[in-house]
Amino acid sequence: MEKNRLDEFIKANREEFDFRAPSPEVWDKIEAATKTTKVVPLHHYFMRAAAVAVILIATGIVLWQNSMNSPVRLAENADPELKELIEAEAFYSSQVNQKLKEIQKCYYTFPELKHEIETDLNELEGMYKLLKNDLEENISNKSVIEAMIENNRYRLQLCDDVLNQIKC
Amino acid sequence: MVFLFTIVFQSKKIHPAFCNHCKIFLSLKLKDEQLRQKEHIHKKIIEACKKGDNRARYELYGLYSKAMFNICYRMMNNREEAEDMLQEAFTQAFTKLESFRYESNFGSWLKRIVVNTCINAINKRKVDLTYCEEIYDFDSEAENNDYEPEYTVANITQAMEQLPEGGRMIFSLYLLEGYDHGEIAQILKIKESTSKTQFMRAKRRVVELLKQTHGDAMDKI
Repeated sequence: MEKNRLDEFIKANREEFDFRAPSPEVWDKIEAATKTTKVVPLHHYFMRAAAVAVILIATGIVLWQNSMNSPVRLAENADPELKELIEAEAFYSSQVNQKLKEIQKCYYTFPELKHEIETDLNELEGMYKLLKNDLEENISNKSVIEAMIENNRYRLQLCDDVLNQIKC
Repeated sequence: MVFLFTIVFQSKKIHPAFCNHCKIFLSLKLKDEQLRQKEHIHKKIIEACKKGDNRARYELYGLYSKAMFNICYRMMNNREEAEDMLQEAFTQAFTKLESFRYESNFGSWLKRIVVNTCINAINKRKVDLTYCEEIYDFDSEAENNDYEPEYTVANITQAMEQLPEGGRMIFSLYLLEGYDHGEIAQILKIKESTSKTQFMRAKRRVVELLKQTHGDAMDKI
């Protein structure tokens, strides 16, 4: 039968039926159309590793710089006298705060006390600021530091005196 | 160690049949390896394409463009439209290559995109497909039966181009693109029985046309 011979002929010569070739311009159009949708190869293992490394280095630098500028770090670099001042300041301020809390309990019985103690403490605080400015300006630091510690001691003394007087 | 070798050597001498088996087994394994390697090379190109490598894309295009273009031509029946379809199909294939997971042959995956692109374009014309009509059967069968049609690639291609659109598509999808009637029915959204009868009619028409051209040639002589 001829019809089956046609089938057989086509199957036997299948390759030869693909005799046409597209013109080269077709590729140019495909290239132009697909180039815009180019995938950024971030999923590439190396790129991931590099991205992680960059983030780690950046955070490292930021943390290091912060620690360099922190007051503790600055104190460590400074002379022992300054270190002493910082320690004394911390000690006295905690003591003063503790005593102030005790005094504050008695505000109810001695209302005029609040005003008095606060003006005194503010005055001392203002003097302390002036001393601090002197310290930054590097004027006879040794005596300034002594005065600052003395100032702290006064504040504690003031609180102690008040507590002794009111006895509540 | 030496002792072991002598045993192996002796056993070879004693059992030549065993040795032969070994050879067959080895050659089979080698073929398998070669096949896998062939697939592997292919996979490399596809993987590079997925990453957006333009050279790999051109390589893949070079491997498949000719076969795919011929499918386009047979579907569209003219060069200009066939080239448009080829461009559209490859662009689409490259953009959704990510979804190709090596579950099927890459060639058949691409072929399906090409065929679908062509059919979508034809459907967009919103004109019903024209199929072969029964009339063709009565025309000639008795008339030209004595001729032995001459089969050449050029003759058959020419005859196919004269078929109505639907018949031509079914004819080439079945005989040249290798789809079965079930698949063609799915692709063209027609009944499987329609695909079968249309294919038979198209084939009859092709044979008739071949006889005609052959007859014309004979008349001229």
